[in-house]
This record gives sequence, C-alpha cells and structure tokens, in this order.
Amino acid sequence: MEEKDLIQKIKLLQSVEPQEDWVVSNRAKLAFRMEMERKQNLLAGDLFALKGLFASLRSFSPESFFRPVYAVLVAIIMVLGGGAVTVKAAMNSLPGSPLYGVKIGMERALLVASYSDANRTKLQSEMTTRRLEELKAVVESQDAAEDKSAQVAKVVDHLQQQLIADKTHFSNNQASERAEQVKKAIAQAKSSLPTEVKRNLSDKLAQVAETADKTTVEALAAMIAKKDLTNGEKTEILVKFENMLKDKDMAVASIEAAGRSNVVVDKIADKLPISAVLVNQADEAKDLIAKIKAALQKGDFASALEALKALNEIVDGAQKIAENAALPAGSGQAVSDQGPGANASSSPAGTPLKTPLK
Amino acid sequence: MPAIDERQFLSLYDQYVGKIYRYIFFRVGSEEQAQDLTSEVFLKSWQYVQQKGDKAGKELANPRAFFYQITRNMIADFYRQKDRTPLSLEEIADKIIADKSEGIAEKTAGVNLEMEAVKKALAKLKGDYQEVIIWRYLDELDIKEIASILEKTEGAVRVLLSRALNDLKDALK
Repeated sequence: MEEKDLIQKIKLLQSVEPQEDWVVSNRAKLAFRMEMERKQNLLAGDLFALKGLFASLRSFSPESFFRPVYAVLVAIIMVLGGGAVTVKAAMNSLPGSPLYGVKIGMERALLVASYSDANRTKLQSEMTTRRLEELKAVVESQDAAEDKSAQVAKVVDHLQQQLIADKTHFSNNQASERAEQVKKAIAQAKSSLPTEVKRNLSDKLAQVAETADKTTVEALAAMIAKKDLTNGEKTEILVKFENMLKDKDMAVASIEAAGRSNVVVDKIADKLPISAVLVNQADEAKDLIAKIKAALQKGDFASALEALKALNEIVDGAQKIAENAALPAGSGQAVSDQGPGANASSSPAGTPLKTPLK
Repeated sequence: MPAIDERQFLSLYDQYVGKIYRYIFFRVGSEEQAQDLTSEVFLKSWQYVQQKGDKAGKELANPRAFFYQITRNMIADFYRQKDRTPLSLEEIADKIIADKSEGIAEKTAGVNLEMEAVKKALAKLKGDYQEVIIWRYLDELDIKEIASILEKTEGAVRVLLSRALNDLKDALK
C-alpha cells in the first residue's frame, strides 16, 4: 500500500466526534464549575472582614443575645453583600450556624454539576474530610449540651450518608479505609463528649460505627472472593482482620467488665439478668475471636469472615444492652471513654459502657 | 491577574473539545471514559491556568499543545489508578468495534468497513505510535508541534511517525 493511500484511510477517522448534546451539557457544567470556583476565590479576602465583624460582635454582646443578632447580621450581609460573601462564609460554617444548610446545599450542587467519576470521587472525599473536621470542631466547642447534641447529631447523620455514598464512589478498599477513619473519629468524639450528650446520641453513634464495620467487612469479602490471592493481598487481608480483632478484643473486655462489675451489687438487683447476659455475650464473643484466629492461621479466610460477621453482631448488640441499661462501673472495671490506648480495666465510676478507643 | 477569562477559556473548549475527545477515545476505547476524561482535561487545564495567573502565557500561547500534554498525563493516570487493569490493545480494538455496534457517536451515518479496519488497526499500535498518527493525520499538527508536545527533536518525531505508519500498514494486512 502506498503511503498516501494509507494516509487517506487514516483520515477517514476524522469523522469520529463526540455527541453534540454531550458537548453542550459538558460545556454548561464546566461553565458552572468555573463560576463556583471563581466565587469561592473572590471571597477569600471577604472572610477576614466577616470574621472580624462577628468577633467584635461576640465580645460586645452577651452570649444569649448573640445568636439572634448573628442571624440578623448574616441576613443583612446576604442582602447587601450578594451571594459571593454568603458562599464563602457558608463554606466555613458549622452545624448550628444559619449558613450550614447553604454549605451542604453548595456541596450537593457541586456534586450534581460534576461530570466525571474521578471528579465526583474527589468531591466525595473532600466532603467526608469536611464532616470529620466539623465533628472535631463541634465536639471541642463550648456550646451547651443541648446545642452540642443537635450539632453532633447533624454531622453524624451526614457522616452516615457519606459512608454509604463512599461505597459507590470508591473501591472497596478505599471505602474501608475511609470507614476506619470515620470510626476512629467517632470514637475520639465519644471520648470528649459530655455523658449527657453521649447518651442522647448513643444510637446514632452506634449506627455510624456499625456502617463503618459493615464497609470493612464488605471490603474483606471482596478481597477474599478473589481467586489466586498474592502474598501481598493475603497480608493486607490479615492486617484488616488484625485491626478489627484488636477493636473487638477491647470492646469484649469492656462488655465483660461491665457485666462482672455488677454481679455482687445488691442495689441494682434488677440489672442482674442484664449483667449475666453481658457476661454470656462476652464469652461467646471470645469464642468467636479464638475461632477467627484459628481460621486465619489455617488461611481459611472465608470461615474467619463468617465468624467476624457473627462477632460484630454480638458485640454491637451487647454494647447497646449495656448502654441502655446504663450500668454503673464497679471495682474500677467498667470502661469509660478515655484517650486512645486506654486500659479497659481502669475507669471512673458511674460512666456508661462505650467502645474503648483503638 | 488571570491570563485568560472564563469566556476566552470556553471558546478554547469549543475549539478543541472534539480533537481532545477523539484522541482520548482512540487511546482508551470507550465513549463514556472518553467523555469523563475530556471533561477532566478542561477542568484541570482551567484550574492550572487560574493558579498560574498571568504566568500561564507560555501554555496559552499554544493551547492545543497545552491541552494535549494535560491529556497525556491524564491517560497515564487513568491506567495507573488502583483496581484498574489497562485494556490490552486487542481489547481496545474490540471495544471500539463493540461500542460502534451499540451506537457510539459517529457523524457519518454509515461507517464503512474500511474505516472499521483502520480503527481496529490503529488500536493495535503502541501508545506513542497511535499518538503521532492521530496528531499528524487526524489533527494535522506539524512535526514541530508534535515534537514540542512529546519533548523530542523533530528528527525523532519523523522516525517515530515512519515506524508508526509501517506498523499500521502491517496491522491492516
């Protein structure tokens, strides 16, 4: 074939083009995204003025007066300053702020406007990071217990949604890593929250921890289902199991301690059956942990996984029982919320059972 | 001060979206992925230009080369992503034919067999051979511009092109 004939054939491929409607809709999404980024960049300077204004108002007004004035000021700025100022202030707002709803709305708008999986994954990742930062900020705030409960509840709800969304946007392994991050953050938050707030939020916090566990179990299941695992993959599976077992070991120790610490106390006779249940559940859990370890030694990942699922159910159930019964600690054996690496056998009296931190 | 405003950038989009899409399509073999990656190219390019501000003059002096460089990096990242197995060239060739049967976008209604054969043959070539053929004969870039994108000498590009055409000729037999 002559070169010129070949080139003529190649030029036939010039007819390959993208679909017109995709080109148009993609252009619109790009324009929207460019506009959003421009507004965010424009407001970087405005934020200092806004922060300064609010700071001076906070020092000027008593706490109880501040909130309605803050809301009115925000409303005035929204009217006078235009959307741009609101957007930037919103991006730095926390639950409880009038602009928090704007922040979440903007994140969702960006997600809808996103036109590629890679971009959506990046946005989802940023959203989870922001929720974790918000959780930390809210937990560390000086707000009243009632307000704190509501604020933490909001962030935890969003985290729960993010964990579910992560399964769609990330690989199993990435979703599992993010779930472990969230679980750690929740455990740290629990250790810092006042007892009253923890009690109000125990169901929500337990739900997020359960979702995080489920994500890790799903990641393990996907890894184990692969044929011909490499040594690297087997090591990764073992590490994941190890991390989960460490977590569950501590949880089981707490459950057992909470159960045994009340065996001889007369005053809470009505809680004795619950104590017995907790001790029994702790024993079952310990059996399952031993089974998992034995299965892992034999390289039987599938059996280990089934036992892990059963273990998660038992531990979650027992923790709920203990929290609802609000058993007091006896002989310093019940676990309270302490920092990471806390010894399960030391705790102040009167604190409800919580999952010890990793 | 940015070197280019939104309207100017969007007009660059209008000018180059077809070429970038086509280049990616022949490199990854899927309409959907070509659309996603094309979108990413323009967004990343915009963000890059914004970051550089008035120092983006060099890139904007030759926007086509700038977009192609970003595109090449993005395709490399696409194949490097976790859990993603690069398609073999044969698979890409088959995907292009299969996608066509599902109704991929072609301007001309009846794509003839000859075009299908060239597509399949092109998909069998190495990545850098595909690139030079696409740029030289579909996008009609001159040798100098291709050399600038690939950061090679013009002589090296001529050799690459010659080898690419030979391989394509063999693949078409």
